[in-house]
Amino acid sequence: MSDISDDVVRLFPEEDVPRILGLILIGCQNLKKNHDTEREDRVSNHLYIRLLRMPQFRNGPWQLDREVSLFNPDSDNDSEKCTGRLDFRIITRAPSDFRSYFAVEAKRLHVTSPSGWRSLADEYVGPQGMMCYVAGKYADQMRASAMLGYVYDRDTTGARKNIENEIMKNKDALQMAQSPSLSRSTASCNGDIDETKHRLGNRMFIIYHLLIPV
Amino acid sequence: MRAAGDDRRTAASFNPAAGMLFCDSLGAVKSRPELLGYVPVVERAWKQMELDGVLFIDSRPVLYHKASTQKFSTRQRIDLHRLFWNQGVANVLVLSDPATAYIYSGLSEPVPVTSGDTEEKALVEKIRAATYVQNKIQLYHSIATGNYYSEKHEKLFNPDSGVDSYLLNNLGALRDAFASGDEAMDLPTAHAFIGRMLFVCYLLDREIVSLSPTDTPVDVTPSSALAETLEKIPTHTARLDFLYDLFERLKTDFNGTLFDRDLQAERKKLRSAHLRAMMQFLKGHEVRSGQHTLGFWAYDFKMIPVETISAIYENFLEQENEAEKHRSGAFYTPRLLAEMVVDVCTEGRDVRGMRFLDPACGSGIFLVTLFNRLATCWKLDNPDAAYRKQAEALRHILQEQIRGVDKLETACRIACFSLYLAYLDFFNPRDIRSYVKETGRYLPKLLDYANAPGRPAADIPVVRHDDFLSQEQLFAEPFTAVVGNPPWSGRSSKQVERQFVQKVPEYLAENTGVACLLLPSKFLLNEQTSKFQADWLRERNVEKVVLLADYRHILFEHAKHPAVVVRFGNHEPSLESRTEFAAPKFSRSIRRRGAITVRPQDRSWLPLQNILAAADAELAPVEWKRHLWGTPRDQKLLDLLLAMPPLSDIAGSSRDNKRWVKGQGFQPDTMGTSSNPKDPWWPEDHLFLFARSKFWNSGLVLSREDCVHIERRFSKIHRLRDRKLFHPPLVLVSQGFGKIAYCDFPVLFQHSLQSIAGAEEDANLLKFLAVYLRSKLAKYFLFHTAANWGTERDKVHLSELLRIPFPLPGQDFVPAEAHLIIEQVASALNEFQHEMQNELKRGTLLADGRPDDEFYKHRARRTDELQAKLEPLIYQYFGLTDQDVALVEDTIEISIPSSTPTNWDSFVPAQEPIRSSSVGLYGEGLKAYADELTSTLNEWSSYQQSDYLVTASGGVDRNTGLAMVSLEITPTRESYQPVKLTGKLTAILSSFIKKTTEKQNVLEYPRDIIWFDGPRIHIIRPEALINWTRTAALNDAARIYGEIAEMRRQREVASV
Repeated sequence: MSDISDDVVRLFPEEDVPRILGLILIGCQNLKKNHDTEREDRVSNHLYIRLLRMPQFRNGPWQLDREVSLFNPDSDNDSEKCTGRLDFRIITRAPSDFRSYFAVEAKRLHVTSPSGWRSLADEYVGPQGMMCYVAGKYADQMRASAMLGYVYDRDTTGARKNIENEIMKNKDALQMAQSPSLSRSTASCNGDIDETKHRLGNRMFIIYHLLIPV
Repeated sequence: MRAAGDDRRTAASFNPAAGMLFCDSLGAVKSRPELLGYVPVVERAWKQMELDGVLFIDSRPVLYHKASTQKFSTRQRIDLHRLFWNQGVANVLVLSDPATAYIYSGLSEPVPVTSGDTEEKALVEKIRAATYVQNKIQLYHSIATGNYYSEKHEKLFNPDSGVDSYLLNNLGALRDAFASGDEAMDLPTAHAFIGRMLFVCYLLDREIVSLSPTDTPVDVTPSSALAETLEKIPTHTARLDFLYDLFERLKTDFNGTLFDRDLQAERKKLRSAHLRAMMQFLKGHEVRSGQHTLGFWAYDFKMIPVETISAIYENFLEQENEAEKHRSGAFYTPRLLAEMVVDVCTEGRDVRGMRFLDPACGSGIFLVTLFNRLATCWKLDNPDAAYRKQAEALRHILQEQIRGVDKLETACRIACFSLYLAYLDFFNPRDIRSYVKETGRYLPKLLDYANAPGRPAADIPVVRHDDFLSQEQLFAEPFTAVVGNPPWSGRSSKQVERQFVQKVPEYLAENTGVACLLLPSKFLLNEQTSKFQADWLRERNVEKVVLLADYRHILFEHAKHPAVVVRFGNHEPSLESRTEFAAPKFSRSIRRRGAITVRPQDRSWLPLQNILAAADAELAPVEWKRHLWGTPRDQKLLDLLLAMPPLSDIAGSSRDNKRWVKGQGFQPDTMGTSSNPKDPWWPEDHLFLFARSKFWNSGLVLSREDCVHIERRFSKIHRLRDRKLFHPPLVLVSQGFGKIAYCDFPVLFQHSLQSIAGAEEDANLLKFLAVYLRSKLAKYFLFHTAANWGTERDKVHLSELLRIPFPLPGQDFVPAEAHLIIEQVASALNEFQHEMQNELKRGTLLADGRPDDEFYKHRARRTDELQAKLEPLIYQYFGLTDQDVALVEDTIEISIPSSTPTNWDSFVPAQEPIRSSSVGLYGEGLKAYADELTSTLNEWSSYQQSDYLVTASGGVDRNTGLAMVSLEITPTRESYQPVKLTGKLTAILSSFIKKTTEKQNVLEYPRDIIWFDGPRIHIIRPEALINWTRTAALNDAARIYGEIAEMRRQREVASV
């Protein structure tokens, strides 16, 4: 036992977030898709393996989980209970509240299929993407989380621009707390991470954006 | 791939507090819900022995304290110890008078009082009263840590010298005396007679009935007086007359199921030898040897808990049922284990309104335990009720709240006997007689013969003689809980326990009903159970699993399988549900069979989605097993290893057409039983390796000299195996994983060996495989994932072996230099092989051409040296960090040799005191733990560019058996400082206790403390090595890191 009450909701330590984002970026170096239309799950599996192998991750105070079903404990209806399947969940290994985690959701961008090239920025921003956080499906107790964009044509500058356009279009729904655009995040001194800020009720919420050429 | 972490706390979960509690009044005991199961025994002791306090550890009574303002006489002390020993619940009795405190063991047999110089063998120590008062908290801690038993007085606290062991042996001998020899009696009759005699003893010793006053000598228990009375009766017939007159009188007075047999028919079977054996038993002599071991007054049935007799009697019942004789894992449920199962069943629930069913009640241990709890609750709620009202209330409990079923009539009869005693236990003897006189109501007949012809009808059908698995609906009304220990036998879908599990919901209240069953661990760990689990776990909400694998030999000496307690609700689980999984480890600190402590570190919460995903992938046993010894930090390494491509990706049977072929050697048709025997295909001079060759004690690389020519040893074989299995290069693996070797020439072997063989170009890779399979990492992985290792037998199935991670060079998971590592290992093996060949040339060959013993010894030593030299390359190949290596080495050096100890005295490294550990790095005491903890925390601190470092100091307090490590923030990195603790630890504990809850009449001490004391952090635990390993340090670091982060956050919130 300790002298801290077990009843409090322990939030994921925010001071760890830059470190975790940095490790994800290292894990994403030279990450490759196998083919042009590969589902993002396969790419995420590959990344998961890389992160598991990473000594800093394994030796760190966190636990990495892949494809976690998240639930709304307040819902009585079983069919509505499952709020979604999060791609990556990072939790501290110290006993803590199950709602305390750092979430990472992954999406494909700039995919070329037999039917042609698609930006998919709308999906990145939409109900299965950023909106998952804004709507409180994921990380509803948290103050930060991340989006991972696998840029299939490796044009991260273009992907960034397309995402900004989508954010502009959906700025109200996204409850943007500042100008509806991606800004360089201070979470990384290399300028390779963007962020958006959202005012969700009383909660200020930051989404970090990592655009990865694959 | 795992989906979710397993150590999250999702909801408040009731568990007996892991800590100490001292109650100095009976009222304080009664006020604690977690002590409910022990209220009747403690109350009896409190009243009979006039106690002043009871110490509970993990909610079990362990120490009774009685103070006196007068000096205790020797006779008083011996009498009190005899009562204490007979109860068989607590371990330590302290009798303190103004001058002296006498400390006695409850696990040393009492001695008779003789003239003057009685040697009190159970007297552990005698100390000055003032010293005792000053040091009693230390004594309590010392008992809690087990230090008190192991450090000074191991022989005096012998678990086999408790009343239960003594009674078990003596009742067994009594039964054997009845059922053997020329005048052998049939077992059902013997059991019925013995059971009735025990009932009479209880009635006599509890003064519910009495022999005539002239029959009872002074200073003798009434049951012993019965023996003396019988001895004085000159003839066998007269003794029978006396006994059966007594039975008739009791039948008139008490009626009840025990007297509904044909007593005259039974009487005719009794011979004088039987009565002599009974008299020996009643006087406490050893029936088997006839020795007068304990003396004439040893047993006192007013103290022996009914549950003890009931539990012991259950052990006999299997003997009676021929069909059940061969069932695997038949055992009696130790009384304290039954309490634990009921605790698990009822935790978080109010038993008051519950209806319980035991579907295989045996001698009624669970029914009695439940009855006692229900009756205790009623008494607590109605403290002033008159006996008549109480009698009605207790009958109501029997009428409405408990039911049992058993196929064996004797079991049912003993269950009724146990319930009668439990019922009578709640009354004063005077009240019982008054109640019978006033109401004319005798003991109700409790045995329901299910309308069997010629059998009396039950007044209250509590125990039903029937087969729970029959098609018939046995009970109309649903139950709120089903609890029990169904028989264990059969394989796969024919497992009887599985049939019980599937039948139980028919009798449970929909949605709200809960079942808690003691099952064999194979129910969850057997390889073939995944499909069953995948279906069953979707239908029933498995709330809690307590895997008792580590106690396999301790709980049930002859059981083939360890036990697991499974609690499930009678409803589908919700999607986000988690199963609480506890895997308690053997601890010498308990000393009572059946008593189990779950340390906080032994518990985890497994998300249903993880278990289901594993079950769907036919890996359910792995998901359970990995949490048996695997800590949260181990889960991270196991996640990595399980995510890697397994060996089965490249090794398969011939028809799988994989890169390597795997399979068993040939099976000779020695008995001529094969329907289609085959002729051997090999020439007579083909080399052959015996599975029991001396090679296996020493070898890693097989040489031709280790083999013999096969000649005509096997004229026929069962079926032809793929010849590639015998063609080099190949790796040989024994069934069970004990033997692994590389071979580079064609060799034949039988089916107890298996081979993994490949093409010549894979020779280096197969050499690497052989070294890897012998490595610590392979053992680590298999110990944590193979079903039987560390639970039943140290055996690994081939299918489990093929799950071992084996990524190839060029794949993710292995470093770029993987090729080089394989070459290095192969090269080392080649050199070794060369060296051994030279040794052979230099050495002496025996007449049969094989090497002499010196060569084998030399090779064994060199093999070990080579393996040790290559271990770092295996770690490097798999990218293990220093932390990972610490986990692997702790598992190899501590967990594996500590698992499933065979008896109380087994060497269990995990339980050895850290200050005297001889295990690997732990020879320097707490240093390895402290260094791992500080280096980990300091590394994490550096992530945040913190200027501060932590430094550790610590030590062990020999008086209490507690160890403490304290962390302090320092500006520079400093090495661990060992310190003397005795005074300091006491001061810190006192300070800590002041900050924890203090209630009237109660002192509470948690046993696993991480205390943030201003700028310092103290970690205080028992000094057993398991608490102070590097693995423990890695997990503690995460806890501390989380706490610090939380405190920082709270400070930030407060400042805003």
